[in-house]
This record gives sequence, structure tokens and C-alpha cells, in this order.
Amino acid sequence: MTVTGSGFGDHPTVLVGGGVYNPGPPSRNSQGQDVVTISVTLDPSLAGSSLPVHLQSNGAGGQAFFGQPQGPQLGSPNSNTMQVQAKAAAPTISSSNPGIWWLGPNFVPIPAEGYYDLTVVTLTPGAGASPPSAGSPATWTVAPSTALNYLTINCVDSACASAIVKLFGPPVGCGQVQVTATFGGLQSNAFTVYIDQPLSVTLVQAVDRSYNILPVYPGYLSENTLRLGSSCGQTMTNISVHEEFTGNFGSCGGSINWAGALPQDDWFHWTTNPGTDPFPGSFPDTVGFACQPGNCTPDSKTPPIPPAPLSLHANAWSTQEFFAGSITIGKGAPTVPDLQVLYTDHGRDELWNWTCPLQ
Amino acid sequence: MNSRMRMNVGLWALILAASNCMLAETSGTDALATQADAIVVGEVQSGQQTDRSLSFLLTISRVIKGNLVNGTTISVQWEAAWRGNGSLNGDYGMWFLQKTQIGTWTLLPVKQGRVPFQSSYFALSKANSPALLGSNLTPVSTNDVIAVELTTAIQHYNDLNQMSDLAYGLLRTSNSALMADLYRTLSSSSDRELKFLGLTGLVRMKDASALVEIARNADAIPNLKTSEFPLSAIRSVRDNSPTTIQALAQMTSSHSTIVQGSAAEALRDIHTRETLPALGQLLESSDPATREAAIKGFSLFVENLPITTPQSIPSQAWRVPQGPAPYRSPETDLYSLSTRVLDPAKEAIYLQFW
Repeated sequence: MTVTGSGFGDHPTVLVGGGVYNPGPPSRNSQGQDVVTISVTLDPSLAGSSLPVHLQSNGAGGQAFFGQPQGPQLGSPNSNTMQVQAKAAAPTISSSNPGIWWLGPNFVPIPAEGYYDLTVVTLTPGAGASPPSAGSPATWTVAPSTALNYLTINCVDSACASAIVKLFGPPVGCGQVQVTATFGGLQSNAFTVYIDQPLSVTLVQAVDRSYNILPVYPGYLSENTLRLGSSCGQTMTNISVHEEFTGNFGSCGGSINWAGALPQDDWFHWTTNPGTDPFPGSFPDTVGFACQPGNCTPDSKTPPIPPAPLSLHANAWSTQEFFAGSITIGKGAPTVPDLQVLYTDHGRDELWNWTCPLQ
Repeated sequence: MNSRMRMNVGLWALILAASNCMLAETSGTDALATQADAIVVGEVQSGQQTDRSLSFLLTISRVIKGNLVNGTTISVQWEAAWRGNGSLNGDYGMWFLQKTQIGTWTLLPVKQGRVPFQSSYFALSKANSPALLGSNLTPVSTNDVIAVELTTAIQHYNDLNQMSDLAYGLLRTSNSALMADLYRTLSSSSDRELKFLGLTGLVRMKDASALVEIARNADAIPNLKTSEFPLSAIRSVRDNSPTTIQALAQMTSSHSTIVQGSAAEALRDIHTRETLPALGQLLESSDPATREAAIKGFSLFVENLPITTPQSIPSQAWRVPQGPAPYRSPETDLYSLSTRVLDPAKEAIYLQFW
């Protein structure tokens, strides 16, 4: 509460209802008036009642108040009295989980992974306010309202003291929305719900080995360590991921028998490494190729021993999509596809815009 | 307001609480050791792969866990991710085994993913067992024995891929009281691959002096075959002590952009006041991703966001301000990269602002 006037002295007292407050020395505003500000705490039972407020000057410069003559009387140390309406404190919103993720339609959370596409927001009435009831429920709003294009907010019960914010589609990039609730004429604080989603995988490292699957032909097994990143720029640890292949193998100029039929099953899945792993948020995608000598052009080769360089000759590629949030085909949220490229002596997960080199 | 959907809030609270507990579980080699009914060092005597099915006889040299007996031979079956046809023999190493419901043994691969048979166990050197080498460490627990076996084999690696596999297994072992001693042994090696592996392990154990040592030799990292181990350890540093910040700051002067970039990621995620001089220096890096990390670090500092840890990512608690943000303004919001990626076309004005 801020009190403005004149003749406050340098250590006034403010009286609110039966309470006494010592605000310290007043400041001066641009009009030259004295200004004091106090924080008033009232018993919740006073909500809705009218309280008298007045200020008392206690003098200045070590001198007690001395009233200026005002006609036949001296001025009073007490100001006029104003009636002030006491209001209940505004309600507050809280949640045990401020962040939600778009992880595909019909996402089923895995508690051990800790990612959720919904959060429960709960309203706590301010001091002096009654909780919402079925007869007088709280109402919830989301800002910006365009967020309702990809999320819902639904009451948990008839009083609507809690609501579930749930994604049914992806936001644009890294998002956040403000949730507010109103009941009994009081509006809550704005509570921020943060929204993120998987974005892409990045190649962390690759280990190229000889193809040692039986029968052993010259060729390779390249273990590409991929890190899963989110739209908000974070590494996504400990979450289910699966691969799906789309389209067909593409062939790079001059290569024969490298672009085989794309497997339509036998797709793999992983859980990205936990934060404690040497490579947090990563998973290994192995690309293998070996061809009986003379059956492919060029012949596949074993990876060279470093420091000999890897071949730059690309022979075939396929489009690989990773979906985060589920190991089940057809579920999860897609990331930017990558291209699995079969070079002559190694395989790599390349960026989506990779194209066959001139060779 | 749609109130069709109703749910028990208590149930959700329970699920969230349960998830927090489960996230703290062990992983990697530790988890594998717990899961295995037996862990042995042994050699494949004979076997066959037919399509995905493998069946082989394994002769046991040493038992690390379980009630198997040295010198005996057991039959092991496994369904491989890679198809193949042919005979197996001579594979020697550390095997993690699980007993099936019908009493036979199956293999627990030491790595996740589409693992070929030859990468499903830790390949060891037959000529160099811990006992033969007279190691002065006294392993007590199963994880101690695993760590000593792996460290011994790493010191006698045949090729860098084998070394990389063993190193990954060792770095994923943490529930052993011997880890610090083993890493110190490796860090004193004259082989740079081993030296940096040892330092990496110590950094992961939050030994700031090891990070200082890495910083002192940072320009050697790009030439390592196993460079991603120290680089990932640098990226994962979240300690905001002066010694650590100083070591990371030293790396920002590295001639290598990948070392600079790794230090930038750590400084970005720590983003305390003390990191700002180093982040400022990184704004002048020749690497665009490093410059972007520096701008992001400034943005996170100005918005008073907490240190970003892996634990804070699923809940997105890293986006919740720790309190008032006195340096934040509409202008800093305009140039903030706290939740945005940098548009390369606008990089110059962002760099000028920060």
C-alpha cells in the first residue's frame, strides 16, 4: 500500500485497521509530495471488508510533532482517514513438471524415461479465498490462444481446481505458453508451461571395422554414434528411439549392385544413453555392407588402417528417419531425416541435404 | 473450457515421482554386471551361426561372477542382430551371460544397438591377464574385477577399435572403488590414447586437476583416435568451481576448433558470471557453432537460468529462472538464443549486441 500526502515528518506511522506499520523515512515524488509504501498482511477473515487507513506524523529532526496553527486550532498529527477494501490474495498455479514434449500422437509415457506430453497444473487459492467448487468452478486460459491449435487444457474435476495441459500436435520449434486461472473474480499468476520436441540427430563419432559377419567378404561395419537433439537445443538422454526407412535406395553414378532392396522390416530401436554415459543422449547406428568380390562395382573394401584416409567414393544412399518417444513403428515424433550413405569402405549417416558427389 | 477429460491428479504425481527415482538407476557396464547371472573370461572353442541364431561352446578361463567353474565348457545361444552363416572359434574375452528359463546360457551384448557377434563381448588379450601382470590392486567386488580386467586389456590393446570398445566399457563402469586408481595409472601412460583415457575417466569423476591437465595438452586431442572420449567429457562438465572454469577458459584458446567447441558447450551450460570472459572470447571463434554456443551462454546468464544438467532436460527445469533477472531487458530478449537457434544471416548483429 502506498500513501501520498504532505507533512509526514521523517518517521511516520501508518495505521491500517488495528495494525501499526513503520515505513521509515518518506520519499518525495515529482510533485514534491511525501510518499511511503508498506506491505500489509491481514487476517484472511478480513477479505471483502472495509478497513480504515490513516497516517500519523511523529515529527522530524528529532523533534516531536508540533502542529502548525490553523486558525484558532493547531494542526493534528493524524491525517484524514480513508476506507480501503481488503481483497483476498490472488490464487497461484503450480505444477510438479513445468515442461512437456511433443512425442507423437497417442504418446504413451515411459516413467523410467521421464518425458511427458502433458502436465497437471493446480490452483491454490490465495489467503482468504475459498477454493473453487462445482458451483463456482475456476476457468483456465492459455496464451497465446493460437497454442490451442496444438494443445488442450481440460479440467480434472468439476471444481476445475486442476487442469491437464496436453499436446495433440507439435508447436513451432521451441515453445512455451502462459496458463492463467480465474475464479471468484480473482486472476492467478501466469504459469509458464515449457514445450520442446525432438529435432534431429547429429553424428558424434564413427568407428569403422572390417565386415566380420559370416561368410566374411571384404566390407565394413561402421558404427555411427548419433546424438539426439531437441528444438530447444538440448541433448535428449534416456528416451526410446526407433528407425524407419522411406523410399528406395538411391544409386550414385557408376555404382552397380550397391543399391539393393530397402528392408521393409527388421528396423531397429534404441534408448538414448543416459546423462551418466560417456556419450549422453547418443545411440549407435551401425551401417554394414560387404559384397562378394566381383559382384559389385566398385568392390566393397575393408576400412583402411589409420592414418590412411577413408574413401570418398559414395555408391548408394537411403533415407532414414528416427522417431523419438517410442520403439514402435508408426509411433513417436519424427526428427529431420538423415541419409544413410554406403561409401566404398565405410557407411555414414549424412545430413538430409547430402547429395551424391561428382565421381 | 472442455472438461471431458478427467484424470486422477494423484496418479500423475505418483508417476512423476516414480520416474525421478528410476532415472537415478545405474546404467552401462554396471547395469550389465547386475543383470548378468555369470560373467566369465573365456574362449569360443567351436560354434555356428545360422542366419540370426548363434550357438557356441565357451571354455572358461576365469569366473568373475556366478557359480561357473574355471576350465569347464558351457554351451551358449544368442540371437544376433546381423544375419550370417558360418563357423565360429577363437573369440577370446569377457562375456556377460544370462541363464534362460530353460537353464541354458544366452549372451548379454556389451553394447546396445545392432551389434555383430564380434562386438558383443569385450575382446581381451590372452597373454595379459591381471594375475600374470601382478597388479597391486586388490579387487573386491565384481565391478572391481571387471574394471581391472578391462584396464589390463586396454594397456595391451591390439588395435584402436578394440581399445575404443574396452575404453567405452571401462568409462561405463563406475561402481568400483578402484576406478580413480585405475584411471591414474592410465593417465601416467606414455601412450597418448591411454593417457587421455585416464584423464577422461578422472574428469568424469569430477577431478578438476585432470581437467587442468587436459587443458594443458588440449591441442593433442584432435589427433587421438579416441578423441571423442575427452571431448565428450569436456562437454559434460558442469562444475562451476574456479579451477574448472579456468581450465575450460584455457581450452577456448586452443588451436583446435573442436576443443574450443567442446569447451564452449560446457561454458554455455554452466553460464555463471565467472564464465562470461571465456564466453566473450568464444564470440571471436572461427567456428560458427562455437560462436552460437557463446551467444547462447550469454542469453542463459542474462535470463538467470540454472546450470543445464541432463537431469533438468526432461522436466525442462533448465528453462525456469532461478529468481529475478536484473540484466534482462526487451533488448536482450530480442537477441536471446536461450531457446532459439541462430539465423546465420543475422549472426553479425547478434555478435555485435553481445
